Amino acid sequence: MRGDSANQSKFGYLLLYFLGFLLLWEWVKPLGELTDTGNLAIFVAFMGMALLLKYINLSRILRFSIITLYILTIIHHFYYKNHVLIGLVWIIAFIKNAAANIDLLLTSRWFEISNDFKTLLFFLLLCLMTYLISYWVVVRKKMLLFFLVSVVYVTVLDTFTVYHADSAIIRLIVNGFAILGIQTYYRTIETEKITYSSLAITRWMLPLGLLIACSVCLGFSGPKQDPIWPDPVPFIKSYSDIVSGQGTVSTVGYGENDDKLGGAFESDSTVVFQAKASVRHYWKVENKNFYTGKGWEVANVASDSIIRLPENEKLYFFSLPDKKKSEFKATVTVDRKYKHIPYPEPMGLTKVKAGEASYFDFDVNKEKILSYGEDQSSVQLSEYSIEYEQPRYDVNLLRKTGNPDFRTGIRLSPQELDLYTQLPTTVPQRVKDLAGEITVNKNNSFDQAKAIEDYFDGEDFVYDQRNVPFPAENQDYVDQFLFDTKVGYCDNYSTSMVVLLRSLGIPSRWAKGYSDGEFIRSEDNQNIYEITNNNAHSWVEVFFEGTGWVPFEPTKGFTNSARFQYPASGASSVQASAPQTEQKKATPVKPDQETAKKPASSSDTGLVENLKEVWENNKAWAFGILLILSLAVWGIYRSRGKWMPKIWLRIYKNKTPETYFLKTYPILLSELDRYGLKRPEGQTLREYAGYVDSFFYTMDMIRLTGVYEHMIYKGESKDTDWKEVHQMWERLMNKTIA
Amino acid sequence: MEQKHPKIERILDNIAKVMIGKRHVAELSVVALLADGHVLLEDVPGVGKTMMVRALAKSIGASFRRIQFTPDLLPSDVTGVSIYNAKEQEFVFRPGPIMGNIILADEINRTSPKTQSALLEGMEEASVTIDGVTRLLEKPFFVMATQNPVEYEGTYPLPEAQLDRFLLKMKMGYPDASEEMEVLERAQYIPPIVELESVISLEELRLLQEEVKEVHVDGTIKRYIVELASRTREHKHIFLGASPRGSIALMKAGQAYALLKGRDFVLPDDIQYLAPYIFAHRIILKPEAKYEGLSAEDIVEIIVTKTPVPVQRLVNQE
Repeated sequence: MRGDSANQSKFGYLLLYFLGFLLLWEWVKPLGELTDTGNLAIFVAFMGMALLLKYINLSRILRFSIITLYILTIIHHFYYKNHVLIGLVWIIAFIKNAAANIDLLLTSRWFEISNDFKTLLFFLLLCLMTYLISYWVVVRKKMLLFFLVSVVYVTVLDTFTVYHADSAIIRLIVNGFAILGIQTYYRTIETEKITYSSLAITRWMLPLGLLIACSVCLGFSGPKQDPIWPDPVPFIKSYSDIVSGQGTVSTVGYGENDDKLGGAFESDSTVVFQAKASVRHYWKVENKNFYTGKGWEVANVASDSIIRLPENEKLYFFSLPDKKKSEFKATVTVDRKYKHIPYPEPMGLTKVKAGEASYFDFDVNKEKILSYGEDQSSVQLSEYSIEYEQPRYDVNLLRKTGNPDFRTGIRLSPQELDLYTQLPTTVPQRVKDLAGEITVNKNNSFDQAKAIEDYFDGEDFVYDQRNVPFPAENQDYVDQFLFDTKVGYCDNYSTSMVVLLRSLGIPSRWAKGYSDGEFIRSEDNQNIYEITNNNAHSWVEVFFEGTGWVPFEPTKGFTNSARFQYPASGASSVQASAPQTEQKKATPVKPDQETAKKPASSSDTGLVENLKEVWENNKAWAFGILLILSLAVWGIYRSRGKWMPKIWLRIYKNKTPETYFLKTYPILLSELDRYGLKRPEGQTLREYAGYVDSFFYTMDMIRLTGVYEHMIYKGESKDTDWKEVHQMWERLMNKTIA
Repeated sequence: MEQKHPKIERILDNIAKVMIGKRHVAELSVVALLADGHVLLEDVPGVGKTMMVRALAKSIGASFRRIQFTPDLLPSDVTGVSIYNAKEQEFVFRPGPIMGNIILADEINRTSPKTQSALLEGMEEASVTIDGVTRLLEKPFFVMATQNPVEYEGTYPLPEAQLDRFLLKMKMGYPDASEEMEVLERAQYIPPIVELESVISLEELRLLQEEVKEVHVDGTIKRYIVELASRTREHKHIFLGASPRGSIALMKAGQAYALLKGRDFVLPDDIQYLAPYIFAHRIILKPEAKYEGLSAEDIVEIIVTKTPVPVQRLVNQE
């Protein structure tokens, strides 16, 4: 029987070693995929061998020599094959090399360390790990920490690298639970001094196995919810960028650099300029034409791109004679000065004048107007006045684009067409497929553009400036928005629309500037609009043959200020989008918040509905707070052993025990019960008192109980020294403080 | 902590002079005597039953009678008979063995039910009716009946209703080795029982019996007793639970036991200790319990351990 049990225990340890080996293996496995470590099998075999040697419990010297021999043979095989294995030559070379490498190590020149030395170090690391595992298996009989660290390791790798731990995590869980279960068995056997018996093993291992199998099967087959939070990696990355000073939670405003779009924005209501004008419209600063997959850059359209705008003359450069248009004037007072000047969009600028500037340059590539002083250096204007035309786009004409019969002088050169339909190779196929899906059944560029513009009004998309991550290293900015996050601000929407258009071959570009701002007051029959940093905006311009560049507004919550003239069949011919303009105020509010507020304030059902609403909107917070609260309550409850008796002691400190003893004694009973001295309900107080006293080595409980018995079973108090009774009670209460 | 009642202690000490070990048997006997009840001893012959009773009788200076029940024993052999006195020309009553203070009814299950009932009537009513004349029995009146659990052939087992009349039923048990050695040691010389003298008078005993009635039984304890009794009626292994007479018996015995322990109030401990002796012969088990090898004592003990002990005053008492 004894031999039998010893065998069983031996087998158990072998199993534990094997499971430990598998656990370690999970650490080594990703290395092949993520690092340039090759020939993993050799290292795995080494781990197995080292653990087996530990298990067999060979003498230390023998074990050491076997391991050394293995390491040397491997190093020889890979790095010193030219030399004879059994020879000093290569060993001396290796030792010299190692010495040099140690020097490198000490001077932190990690990259110069040679491969043979790296291999040696890796072997040493594995040695250490195998030693630790055998320590955890045999001596500590605890491996929870290692198991948890393994889980963290694998999950972190899965989250942040290309390594897919789908099956690894299952293996890890099965393996880890098995180890923990078996170790608990051995620990219990040891601490409780139980003799091994085959029955006990089956009784333990069978439920353990069943439990693991059941939980894994259940977890594997059960329905799993998709992650509620977006991929955390971009957030963490952008956060780490902030910390390291690279990235930004920028404040809203006009920026020149659009190389890397994404990240959160803080709102900023600094006034940029005030415009005195008769109509509302966007203010354009420039446009960009080259999409990099992460952001926008400017490619040259024309080699000689800078044009000096003629002074005191009408700028017919912008004006397109065929368009139906209205003419306006505006004066702009600038608070925050830039070198560039914002001009009305849709553009039809005819004249620009400023006292401080002697001339204006126009950059054709960006369609950006810069102001210069007399000394040919750029100046920052505090005020300028403009005259402009606002076109009305004829939808019939727009729909003709692409029709081979349509003859017009306004068309793009092949180079320009190439540039405005450019897409980087990083744009995934699914984006292009999506463009096709959205525009199915649309046979002209205008309707296609409209369809894409409308697509972003869908419920899936949410306007938000804060919870917007940077795309991951290998991720396309547009792809991330369209398929992963669907949360973003103007840059996301406009860039996505341009990319979708371009993937259909429709020439388009990315325009930026300011949205129409806020109406302040009327003055001299004109309105004054205030444009703040919050109005910084980006949108889309699409090229239509015969018409030119036409603005589109894909961003949720914003309305295109361009005016379209629909064919006469439509009821209102002038402004198809006009009624919407009034409804959707162009302030960027999170749409779901806006809709959520409405029913709450207008509904009659009142508070309950309201609370429900609040609950629905803040579920995550509420759950978090509830969780924290319940955790806190649980913690306080768990630690009641530390504070409950003290509170009782304080409450009954100066109370005459004679009158309160009927209360204080039961309190003592419940505290003793909480302490762990349980009284079966069929046990009499006297027996229990004996048990408690034998536990604490006192006589107090029996004496207290005698007094108490007298009170409850006789119905009268005993003539006794109540002071002493109280002291005994206090002593016992103090003993129950955990 | 544990005090003793001086007079009762004297009796117990006196008994201990002749009975080696067996203090619990002596205690329980005294409890029954003080509670004005009777004892049924179930044991094999030769373990000292007679010795026990005789010692008890001698200690209290009471008259001791012994009735050896045989199948041919008649009721009149127990109660006594009127004999015609030719000289006086009238019937003269000659009292039977029941007319004593302490009676050992040996092997009570060997005699016919008719004879048994003659004894049992006396036990219950403290009087016997002979030839139409009811004669009161002298107090104290204490019967210790014995039953042999080994031989059942030719016996008339006592019906449950009769068993109920015994306050408690107990087993004597064999002495352990060292005790038995001492028994042999003493048996070598004069039987010590002869030298035993009474330590209290009958009058004192009667006073003690009165004192027992004064022992306080709190409402909590009464509730506890009722709870125990009702649980015997609901238990799944019990066919017939303890009767209210059983509850009364438990209370009275509890009072006597408390007095024996020198207390003037009853503790749950007393009740717990006594419950198996008092309830076991008053319940009828279902066959299932017997198949499971559980005796009535076992089940009563299980009930005792499962029933919550009252540890606080009853609310309506405060």
